[in-house]
Amino acid sequence: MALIFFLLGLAVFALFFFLTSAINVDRAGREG
Amino acid sequence: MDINILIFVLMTVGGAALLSWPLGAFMKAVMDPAKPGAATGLLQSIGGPLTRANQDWKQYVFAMLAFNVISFTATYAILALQHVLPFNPDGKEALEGSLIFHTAVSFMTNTNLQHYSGEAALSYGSQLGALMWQQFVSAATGIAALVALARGLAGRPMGNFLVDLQRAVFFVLLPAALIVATLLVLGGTPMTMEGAATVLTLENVEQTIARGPVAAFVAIKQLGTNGGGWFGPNSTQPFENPTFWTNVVQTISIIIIPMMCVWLFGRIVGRLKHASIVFTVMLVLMGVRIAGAVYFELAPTQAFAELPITQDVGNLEGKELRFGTAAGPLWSVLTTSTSNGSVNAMHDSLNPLTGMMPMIGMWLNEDFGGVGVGFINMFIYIIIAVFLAGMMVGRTPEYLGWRIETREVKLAAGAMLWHAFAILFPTALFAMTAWGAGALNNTGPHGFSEILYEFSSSSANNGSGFEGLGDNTVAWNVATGLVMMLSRFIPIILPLAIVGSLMQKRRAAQSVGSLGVEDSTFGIMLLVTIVIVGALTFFPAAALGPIAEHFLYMR
Repeated sequence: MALIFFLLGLAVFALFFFLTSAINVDRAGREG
Repeated sequence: MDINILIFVLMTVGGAALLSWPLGAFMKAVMDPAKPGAATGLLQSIGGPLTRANQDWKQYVFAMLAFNVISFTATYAILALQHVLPFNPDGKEALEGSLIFHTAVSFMTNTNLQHYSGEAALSYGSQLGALMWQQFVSAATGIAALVALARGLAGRPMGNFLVDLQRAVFFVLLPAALIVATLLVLGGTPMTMEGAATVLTLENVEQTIARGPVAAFVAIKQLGTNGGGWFGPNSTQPFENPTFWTNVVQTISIIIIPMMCVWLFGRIVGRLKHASIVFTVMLVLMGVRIAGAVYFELAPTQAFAELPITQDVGNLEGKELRFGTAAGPLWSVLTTSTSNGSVNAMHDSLNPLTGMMPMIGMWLNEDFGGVGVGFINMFIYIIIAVFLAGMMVGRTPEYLGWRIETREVKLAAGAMLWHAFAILFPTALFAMTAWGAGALNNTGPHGFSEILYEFSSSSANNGSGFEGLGDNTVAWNVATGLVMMLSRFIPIILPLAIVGSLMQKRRAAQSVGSLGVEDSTFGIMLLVTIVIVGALTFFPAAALGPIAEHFLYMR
């Protein structure tokens, strides 16, 4: 069971890496 | 109000506020020096390219996440294998899987929500090697994130995460922890690696008394806005907080570094007047809650209303009388203002509206907030306030010369809404299912408050417990563990993305058309924004919990 919960923690970290990659602020300067 | 209460509040909060000014200058000097020192050079010679390059916002976030993955893994392994690892004089066994997950996440995220009792469940190796390690590096992570954010807003490169982490640990947290731990030892807090003591009591029965290197643990517990106690009862336990004076030292330790962080930010961006306005707003918000908590706690507990007991010194249920009557409510507000989460009184026993004050602190989570991250949360409110003010008066919304546009406001709103969602949705889910109802020791509004408090504490990365919950179950461990993780990193990633977005733009010079952020008008606008957003978001939940309980039971 401990291994399953450890993998759950790693999965959430994977989500953070994905979220950070997905945020694109490069075009911000041309908005508005 | 008793004059002693006023003196106590002024001595602790006022003393910390005064100390924060020179210490904030010191913090700027060590966290953001004009020239890298010898320690940075040593780290860079060991760390190579990982520690040499300036990072953009994504690289900085990736480095922070990668470090936390490694740190989480190491903590997890120590907790899972403590029964075969050294420094286990009392032979503690391995923890259950979901509790390992919860504990590792809790300390990695600077929350320190504890679903175990330290003296009963953990070895010295686990407490020191896993949890105390996290108490240092999780606090340092928050400081590093703030320094990166401030550098970006100052129009400079964000810096390097590992360098900032090292500076925060070695030049801020370790020296401060050494001083506080020494004071605690002088005050009677134990500091030993010997196992539990077995003594013969006056009744001629054997008693086992837990002890350990408590002073070292408690020092960083308070300074790093961690809050996780060596003992289960936290700072109510006489070894963890023996006297009135250790209580004063700990009270100041709780708020000093979050206060220093405001001046750190002001000095890095070169706008100390702006920092003083933000500091004042934070102090006002915290002061109102302290006044509310102390006032509402002057009413006697209704649990004893039918008993022939004279109650003329306020609610004494769940208080440690060696600290005095005001120390409990004051501490409850300070620790929940700063995401600290330690307790020196039973929050479950606070009068209903007193109990709401810590909850408000965790809902707003920005005055003064956790080490580093408290100001980052305030930055979110500042973005929203600047945007609203700009829209209202027809001026270009800008902050420190950076134009605030759609993308920045979307990211800020995302961070703000996440915190509300992470509290309210799981509270509703657990209130309507056996996961929550089955764990309660109270029914009605107080039971609802217990669930609401637990998720507020998790999402604010606070870690204090209302208690009364049987929360060491798989459902609670997993749910609060996920909330802690998501609510730790989303409100760091999105603000750094905002700064990354601003840095893509050309910084405008201050003009008559710029919205001022260094005057009282801005301060009032910021204050009103925080109060309105907070009230609109959380008032319905407060009405179902502490407010309903007040009108039902307080006579």
